[in-house]
Amino acid sequence: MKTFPTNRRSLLSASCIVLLAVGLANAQTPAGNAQNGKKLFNDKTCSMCHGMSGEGAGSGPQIVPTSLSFMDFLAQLRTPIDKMPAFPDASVSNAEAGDIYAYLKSLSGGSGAASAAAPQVAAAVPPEGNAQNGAKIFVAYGCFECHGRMAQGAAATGPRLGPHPISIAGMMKELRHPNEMPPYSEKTVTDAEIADIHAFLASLPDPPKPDSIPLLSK
Amino acid sequence: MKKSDKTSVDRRRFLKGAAVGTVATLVGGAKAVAGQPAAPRGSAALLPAETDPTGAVEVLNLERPGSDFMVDVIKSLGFEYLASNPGSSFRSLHESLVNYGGNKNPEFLTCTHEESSIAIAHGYAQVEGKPMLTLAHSTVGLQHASMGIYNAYAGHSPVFIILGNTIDEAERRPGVEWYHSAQDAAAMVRDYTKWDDCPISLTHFADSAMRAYRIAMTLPMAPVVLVADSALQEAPVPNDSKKPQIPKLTLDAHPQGDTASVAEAARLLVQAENPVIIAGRVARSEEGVARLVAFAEALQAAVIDEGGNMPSRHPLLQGRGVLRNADVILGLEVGDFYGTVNSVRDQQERTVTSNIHPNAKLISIRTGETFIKSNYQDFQRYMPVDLEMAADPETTLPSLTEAVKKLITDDRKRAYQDRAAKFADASGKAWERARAEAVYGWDASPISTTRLSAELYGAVKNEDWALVGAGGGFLWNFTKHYQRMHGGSAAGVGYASPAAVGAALAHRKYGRLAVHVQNDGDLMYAPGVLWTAAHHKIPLLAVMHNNRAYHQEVMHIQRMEARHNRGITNAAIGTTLLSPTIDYAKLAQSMGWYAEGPITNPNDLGPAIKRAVAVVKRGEPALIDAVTQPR
Repeated sequence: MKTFPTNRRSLLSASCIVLLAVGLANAQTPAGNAQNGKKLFNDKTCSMCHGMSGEGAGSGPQIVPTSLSFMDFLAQLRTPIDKMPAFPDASVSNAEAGDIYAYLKSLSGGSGAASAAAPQVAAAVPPEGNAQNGAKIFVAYGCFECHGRMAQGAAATGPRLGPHPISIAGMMKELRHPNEMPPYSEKTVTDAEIADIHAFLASLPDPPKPDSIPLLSK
Repeated sequence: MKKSDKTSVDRRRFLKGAAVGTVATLVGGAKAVAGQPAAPRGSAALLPAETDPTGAVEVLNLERPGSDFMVDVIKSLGFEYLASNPGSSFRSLHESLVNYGGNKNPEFLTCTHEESSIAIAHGYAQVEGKPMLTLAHSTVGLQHASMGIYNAYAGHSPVFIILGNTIDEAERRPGVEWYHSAQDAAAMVRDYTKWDDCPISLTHFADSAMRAYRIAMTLPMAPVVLVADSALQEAPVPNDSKKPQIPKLTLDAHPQGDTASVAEAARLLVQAENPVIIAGRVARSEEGVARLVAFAEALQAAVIDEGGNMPSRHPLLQGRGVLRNADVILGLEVGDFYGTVNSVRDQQERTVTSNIHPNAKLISIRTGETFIKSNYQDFQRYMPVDLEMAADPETTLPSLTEAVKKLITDDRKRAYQDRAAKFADASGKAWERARAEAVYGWDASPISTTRLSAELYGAVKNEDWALVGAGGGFLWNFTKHYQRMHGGSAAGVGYASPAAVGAALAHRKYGRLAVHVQNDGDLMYAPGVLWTAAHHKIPLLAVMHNNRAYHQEVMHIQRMEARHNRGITNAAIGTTLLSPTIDYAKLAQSMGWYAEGPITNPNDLGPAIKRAVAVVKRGEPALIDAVTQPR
């Protein structure tokens, strides 16, 4: 409440579109090692900006689920089109990038690549949640305090969560072993409740287009 | 005003003389002469009289009190305003200001809380770059003022505080005045003021006033305290060889980086492939902005602007992500260099992650560390750097820019052009993405902060506007230095609303439309400042970011609940402002403001703000209470 999203932060928050959008799935996906990718995601400091599970953090956008092809992912890594720093081959090799990509895909609901932590968690998650109950929990448990009542996010406190949320597995990973947000154990939020929240996020309607809002005109 | 020799009497000297005269009469009937003891001090004969120094003396008037001279000193310093809640320890000075001084330069701003008076001065200084005078009432007034003083100190803002006090116990009226007197009145704020003094003569007062003003304005700027003893205020101005004079005021030139260090910094920056500039409190004026822009453009280096220095749509403005690949990082008056280049994880066991390459070279130019104190930890964690200049960045930038330009070869120019193109492209795309993100929660109720920001900017963007507080989103196009507040604070809540009033006052004479996004919790600390704004006809548009909570604290309690595995449903206890909700429109209306609200439908917000803008343009304050998302 004490601060308002700054211009800079808003810009950074919005840059999440980079890795979320534009699925050009025509490139060959390497058989990366998601387990190693998870480690690299932290070691190479990707998690610092994007959160431990690619959910976005203070200065970086949400990047899972990703529909980017590996080639697009690699292009973004080498020559970012936004304010993300470039990671040249000397910093992150192609093989390492493949592992990180596999990790991100594993959080995105799986792509055939070897999964990291996601399978163990995902196995415990109920297949379907109750969106109505999820909406109640989202308020009662105070999720909205950082992410907004429409899960729209706020640059200073938490990323946008919906519509089109990350996978339940990724969400659970972030709640149980977060980087920035508080740790929510099973005692605090059950797996079933997470599924309900996920269902609520998935049920959110798409927003209007920016061009349809005069105040957002260029 | 001409002094009357018949009625103008030094109260203390007169009483002393009268007492001695009484003694003289008692001890031998000798003729007493005021000021000339009739018997040696300490004699046995004198002792009874000294233990009973009463006398039926009647001195009723004087025409040239010391406080008049104090007003002369104050006027010589060029204060436009003084903000104060009245107090008897400076009653003579108060009277001299409004009658002898004509209540002009400075004009008295009636405040309902000392914390507000200091914050008004703080906000004013953040726009004008010079101090406003404040008067505080001895012990209790300064205690009220103290948090505001600490905010100004941490924000490197000059505030000139005159503190009433009665040092001589014989001059105190029985009872309350003893509670309101102190042996060392400024001691309680000495940890977070730059200098203080307790003058014992008017000459001393004048000298110390000049010194205090100069010290307050020397970088890093900070509050100063001058104690005005009540007896000194109320005693007559000497009209003899001790007649006080007002000395000349000369301000210090700001320190510039030494030639060798500037040359070394230029060499490192020109050779760097990915230089990054972190700009803290750099620009104090439009000229400062121009200097920073010229410097950044000479290098085509990325700028992380922590202090609102650059035009907000300048293509070189980048986020902290650029630090990762930086090989040379230049910090310009960065308040928290350590916290900028590191991330501290708020978990049960603190961990720190570096945001920069281990071989990156760090350069710092700042005045901040030329004046720090021990107790309060506003100086932030120690950050080792490779080259440190104890100098003012704004003053040093021209020579640094020149040094850089001399070293740039054609090869480097081509590399810089490539860099510039990349930043421009990224900047444009990022703005587009921010626009795309803004639509999420657009129609939410409570109103999203992005919607509030967009509605507010839409209503003022064609005016000569200035934001007097935090806020502003990606849409806001800051092109002028005065459109943002500069300096900061210690994040002591309750500062924002009075600081906005002080800043709006500074903007008034320029005809600018002052705009403030007002947090609800902040306003409730001392809402009487609304009355001050209305009373003094200070035009200010305040739009409430009313999330009905001390929201930062809500999140902290949530974090602790989660960490302690105790459920997460009680974070609202002690942190929210519900049941009943506060009607800020009625609150503002009761103090003379135009106000509307509470507004919960986002579609109602824009029209309400437009109506309020019309009111503010007439010269009055207006408040719109928007019920918002938490953040």
